[in-house]
Amino acid sequence: MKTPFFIIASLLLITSAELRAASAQEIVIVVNKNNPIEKVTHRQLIDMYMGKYLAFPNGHMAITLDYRKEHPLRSVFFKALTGRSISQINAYWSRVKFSGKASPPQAYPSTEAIIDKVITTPSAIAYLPANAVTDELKVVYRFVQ
Amino acid sequence: MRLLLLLLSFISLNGACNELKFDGFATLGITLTDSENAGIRQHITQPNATFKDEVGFSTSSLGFQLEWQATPELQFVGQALLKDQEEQTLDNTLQMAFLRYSPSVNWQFRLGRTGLDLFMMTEHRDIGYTYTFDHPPTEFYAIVPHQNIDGADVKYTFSHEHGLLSAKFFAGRSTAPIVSDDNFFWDVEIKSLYGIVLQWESLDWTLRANHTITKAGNENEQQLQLQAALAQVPDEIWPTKASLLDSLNLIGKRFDYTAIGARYDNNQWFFQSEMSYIDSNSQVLNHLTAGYIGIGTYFGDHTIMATFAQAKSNNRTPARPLISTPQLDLLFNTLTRHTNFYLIDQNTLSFTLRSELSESLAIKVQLEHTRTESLPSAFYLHQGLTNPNLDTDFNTLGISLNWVF
Repeated sequence: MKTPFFIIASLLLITSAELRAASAQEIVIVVNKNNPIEKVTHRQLIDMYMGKYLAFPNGHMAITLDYRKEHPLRSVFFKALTGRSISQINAYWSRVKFSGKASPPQAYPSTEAIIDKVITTPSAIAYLPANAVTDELKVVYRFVQ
Repeated sequence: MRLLLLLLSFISLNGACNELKFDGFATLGITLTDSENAGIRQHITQPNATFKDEVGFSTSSLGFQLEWQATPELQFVGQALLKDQEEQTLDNTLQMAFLRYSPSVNWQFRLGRTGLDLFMMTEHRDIGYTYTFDHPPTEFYAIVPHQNIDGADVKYTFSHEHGLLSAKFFAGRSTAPIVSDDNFFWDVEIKSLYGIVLQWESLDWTLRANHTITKAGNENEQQLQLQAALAQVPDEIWPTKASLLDSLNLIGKRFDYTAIGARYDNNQWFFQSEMSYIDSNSQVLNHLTAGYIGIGTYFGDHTIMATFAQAKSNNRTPARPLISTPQLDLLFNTLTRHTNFYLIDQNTLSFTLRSELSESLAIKVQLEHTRTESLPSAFYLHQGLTNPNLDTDFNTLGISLNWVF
């Protein structure tokens, strides 16, 4: 009986360690380096990531990128962005999606996949750990820790 | 729908931005009640209800949604919904099937079968995971059977410093069933359906107003039989016959819906409230005023909420014929069941607990007390109506598991 308990406890510790690591990271908002936008406001980010208004400050359409549901950075990002738990965010997006009003952002499995997509998509916008930013990306917003 | 299929056939399958998404939702609901005469159901379309000493499962549902991003501007959305219905056909299972064209950030056009944007939760009322209530308030949401329209809509969204302002206009037609006692079934068609929705929203606030005008497009067989029987009664015996005949003739009658709604959610406390006024030139549903207010708070993975809902119509029981015979009494009693179908005067106080079991699974428990001044009612199915002391105060417990995947 000790082995299963040990495995479960280890998994819980790993998961909580990942969450702590994710929450300790500074999250930044990035766009393609050729995007003329230099910064976005917190409210514009909310409008984009809640599917309300998908536009950069200059009025051009934005393609929002997100992580898959299981990625630990997702809950940290939405908490920082909206103050709401990931369950509340999921309920919100279910309401919007199943009403046919809007579609959630495209979802990717990893930071690397997100970076590749932003580099090849001029109108993309995404969130990353600050230490993952490369020269081919432009930071347009930083969440204050 | 033919137009939609034709449009779909023109979409290039070799588009540069093909993306297919598949999602679903499910609700497993249980209903318990101490109501002896009013059978509990959540909606006027449901053919099954729960009475005292029964366990009801008719509030369960299962649905799937497919989204295909054909090009950056063009998207197809289809949704199938399985729930408690009198007839399970492909047509009434297909909840949505439309093309969305978004040529710019501000403009959006949709063509096909879309959700009916009548009240705040009409479009997703069968998807329990999307709201805190165990079910949308009966007094407000149960009366309108229609949930989608076949037609088109256009929406303009304007961003300003304090939030987003949007205006939507929609037009089309819709068909949905009404089910009542003694196997009454009417697939109600509304045509010439036009509506406008104005909405302002920020992160915490949503304010909206809707006005929709419709005309009834058909009538049912029982109404035709009643009209034929009533027409044979001499005017001297039933002086109000002409107005009764007119009230039974529904085709072309106007039904207008006006609603305002507000929601505030600061991540600690929230409230949601709507008020509606249904106006018609038919005596079957002359005027109906309904509203609700729900207030709740979050603590961890739990949400508690209290809701008060009320509905009242101004329908009146028609005048009796001047003489009494067995045939006239039967005709009068049958007639009043039709004219009194929307005779509504009731309220419900409910308390809800919602707990998140995971990031996509929630359990909800709702206890409610209903007091009605009028039975039978359009909201319920009935038994034991010959009892002189009808059970007009009853309690209902709803428990549901709600999942999105």
